[in-house]
Amino acid sequence: MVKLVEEHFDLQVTAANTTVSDTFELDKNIVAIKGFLITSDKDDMAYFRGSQRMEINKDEIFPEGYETKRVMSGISVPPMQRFYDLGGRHPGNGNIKVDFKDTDDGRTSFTPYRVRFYFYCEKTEDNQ
Amino acid sequence: MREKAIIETLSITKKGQIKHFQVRIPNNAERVIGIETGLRMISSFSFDFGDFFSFPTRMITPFPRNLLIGELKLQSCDEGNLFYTGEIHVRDFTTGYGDFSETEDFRSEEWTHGLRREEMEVVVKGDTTILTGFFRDRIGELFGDVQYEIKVIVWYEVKVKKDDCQPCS
Repeated sequence: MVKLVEEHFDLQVTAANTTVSDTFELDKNIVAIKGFLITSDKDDMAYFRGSQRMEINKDEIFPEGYETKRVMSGISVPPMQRFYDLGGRHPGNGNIKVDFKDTDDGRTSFTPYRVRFYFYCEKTEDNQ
Repeated sequence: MREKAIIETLSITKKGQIKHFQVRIPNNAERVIGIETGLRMISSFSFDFGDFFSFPTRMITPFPRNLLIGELKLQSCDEGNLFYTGEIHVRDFTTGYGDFSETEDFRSEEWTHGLRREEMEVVVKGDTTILTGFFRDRIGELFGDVQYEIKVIVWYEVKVKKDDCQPCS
C-alpha cells in the first residue's frame, strides 16, 4: 500500500553571504517524490536573500542561483497546491544534496534564520 | 523527458541601461519550455508611500501601483523569433488588496500571501542553440542610478537516450 507523506529537513543560516550545504537522506521506503516546498522561520530573509542548488540522486533539479522565492507559497494557495511539482521523480539512492546560498539584498538586513525543505512523497509500507 | 534550467544573470548599474545578452542552449536540449525571472536589489532606494502602508490608517481598497524595474525580451534563432516579452517589478504591493483581515502584527506580504510561482510556458525548438535577450532599465526614470541583478531562468527538456535508465548512482 502506498501512503503520501511529507519529509522535511532543516538548514541553519548563521552568517550573511555564505553557502550552507548538506545532504539529506530520504526514508528507504520512499518510491516517488511528488513535490517540494521551502519555508523559513524568517520568511522575508529566505524570500529576498535565498537561492539554492539542489540535486536528487546526483541529478540536478535546480541550478546554482535558483531563487528560493520561486518555491515558496503563501497562505493564499491551498495547502496541497503549494508544492513545486517534481512529477513523481524516482528518489534513486534517496540522497538529496542542497547548497543554500544567502546573498545580500537591498530590501533586507541579515539576521540568522532557519530554512526548512519539505518533500511530498509516496511511501510504501515495510513488508515484515 | 528530463527538465533542466539555465540561469543568466544581468548586472544593471545605470539609469536607462540596456543589456543585450545571449543564452546558449545545450546541444541535448529538445526544446525550451519555460521562462522565469528574478530580481536581487544591490542598492536600495526610498519611495514615499505616505501612510499608504501604515496600520491602521492603511488604505486597503485603492489599488497600489507596483514599481517597474525593467522590460525583458527574448528571441530565438528559429521561426519562433520574439517569443517572450515580460516586465519585472520590484515587489508585489497588491497582495493585501481588499484584505480586511490583517492586523498590525500580521501584514500581508509576498511571502505570506503570495501565490505559487509558475514559469511562463513557451515552446521553442532546441535547434535554436542560442537565445538572444534584451533588457532595458526603467526604474532609473524615477530613482536615477539603481544597482540590481536580473536573473533570467530558461527551462528546457533534455533528450533522454533510450538506454539511459539508471535509477541509482
